[in-house]
Amino acid sequence: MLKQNKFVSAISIIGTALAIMMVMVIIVTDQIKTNNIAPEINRNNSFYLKYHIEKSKEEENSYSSGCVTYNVYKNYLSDVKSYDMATLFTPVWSDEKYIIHVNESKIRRFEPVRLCDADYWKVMSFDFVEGRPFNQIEFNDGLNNAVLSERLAKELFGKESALDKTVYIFKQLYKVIGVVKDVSQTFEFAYSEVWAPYTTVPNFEEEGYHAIYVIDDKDKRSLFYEEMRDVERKYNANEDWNLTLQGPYNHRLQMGASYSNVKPEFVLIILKYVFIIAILLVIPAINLSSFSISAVKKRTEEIGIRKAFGARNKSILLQVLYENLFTAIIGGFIGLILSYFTVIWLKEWLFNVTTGDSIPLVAFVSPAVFLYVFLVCVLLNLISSIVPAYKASKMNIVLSLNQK
Amino acid sequence: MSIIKLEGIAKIYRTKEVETLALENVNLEVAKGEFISVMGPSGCGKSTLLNIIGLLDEPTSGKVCIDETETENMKDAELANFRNKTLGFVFQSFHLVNSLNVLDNVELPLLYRKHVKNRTEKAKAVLERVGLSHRMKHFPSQLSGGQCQRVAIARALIGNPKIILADEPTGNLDSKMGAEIIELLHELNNEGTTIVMVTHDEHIAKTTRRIIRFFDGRRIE
Repeated sequence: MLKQNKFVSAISIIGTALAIMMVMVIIVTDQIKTNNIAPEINRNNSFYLKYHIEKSKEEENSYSSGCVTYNVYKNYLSDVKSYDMATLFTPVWSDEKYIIHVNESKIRRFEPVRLCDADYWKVMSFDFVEGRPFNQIEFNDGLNNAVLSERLAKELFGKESALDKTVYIFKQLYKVIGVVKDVSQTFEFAYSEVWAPYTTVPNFEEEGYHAIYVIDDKDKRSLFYEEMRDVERKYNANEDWNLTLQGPYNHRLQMGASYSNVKPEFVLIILKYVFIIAILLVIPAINLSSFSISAVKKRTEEIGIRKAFGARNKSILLQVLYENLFTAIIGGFIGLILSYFTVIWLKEWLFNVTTGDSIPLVAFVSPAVFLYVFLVCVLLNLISSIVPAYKASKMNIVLSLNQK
Repeated sequence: MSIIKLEGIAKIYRTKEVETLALENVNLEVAKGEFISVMGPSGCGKSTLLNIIGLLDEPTSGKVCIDETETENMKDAELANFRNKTLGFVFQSFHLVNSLNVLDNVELPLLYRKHVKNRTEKAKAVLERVGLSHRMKHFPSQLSGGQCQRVAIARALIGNPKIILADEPTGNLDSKMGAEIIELLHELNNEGTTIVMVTHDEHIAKTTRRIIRFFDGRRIE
């Protein structure tokens, strides 16, 4: 078939290769978002409390939703004990108040700032180019210490070391005590350009926060959830509002929690994922099937000749399936190579990863993942060629010989 | 002894609108080692008869016995195996596989035979026999009509069939090439191969031992 129908074969191979490449890229993207990768090295053991909803006890339709309030954290979540590590931090906002500048004469700029506690540096694992993170004492004392990304440090201070230099953040002077390697925006909870203790911000009690709880021991988790429900009960007994915590969710589930007042559905998230992958594999399979039918039609005479000289129906069936398998294998390997190059060349666009980033992208295009995708693709390819192969095997010899 | 025996063969082609009687109550016996010509006007059922003898098509009714084997209840695998070992075909329009070279085309029947050694050597030997050993690596599109028909004869020969069925083997050739092909078929017949040939050419038919004639699906002579 490869020789006889070069165009059809090329289309089949390219179709298979592109399908495999797209699925591989989706899987790599998913792995980057869900695996334990520095700085977010505790994803698999983390439970995320991003939002909660407060409903008025007096007015039925009155409610507010949003990030975790400092009041809930300080006065209620402090009762939760069943975890190994926990951190409280703000989402990254590039608000007007986060104007960063070195001195009055320099151009003012907006940069993403994340406010966090001292344990944030334990839950995350940043790669410090120089300096260190702020510690618990500095945090408690509200010392104006800041950590910058390598990119921002270079932009602000050029080739000079940024350590002990001062920058204006929120119109306050901060001392740079550390510089970390740039973090991709793919890391929702680690990404920022500036990190500072939330205790240094006036009215930090009014900020909205996210909390991450790291629980290594699986047995602790049910107790942890029980304590979270206790938090809700205690809050509801003391306050004018009824509290519903959105979570805490595991890492995959929190990815679906994009809105503060919508509960993520695990099944829907998985279904969406499976649906996308299925579409990416099934559509090429349907196309390949029609290509295969047209390829078989072009070979009607050959099939007649082979049957006249002793080929059984089964031999013809197997030949067509084998030829399709062959194109699937070639397409599969081209797809694997394309996956490598796509992941490497398009990493900035696909994953928001900068060229200096140390994410082991290629490692995610693993043989095991490839094997699974490849097997599914081969299977679909075989299914797509069963109908044309069966039709070919059942062709009437005389009619086949008389068709050109 | 008859190597081909047809009894009461009828073939009707049915479509939704129309029924066409291609063969009607045909009886025929061909002795082992015979070379017969089948003649008649276009559409009289000659090729249908050859297809039925070659087990490429089933009769609507009647019995086909080839080499003392009843073929009526044979399944696909048995039919394929029987065709492969007993019958060789030469077609008017050659029916070579264009994507295969001459050697691969000739080897094709042996691909469907188990435990065949020296396939390529055998193919080379039959190509030598038909005078095409110098064209083994050529493709059908690079050959003349006469050369293509020689390749087709080599392909029919390679499995040492007892019967060769030739459907207008000279129909697409000029008279000189046609004569060469008929000479080759006579050689094969002299070596003991039974040949049934459909032809329109009275002159060629007369070179064979027996002529049977058809008209409107019936044997008239």
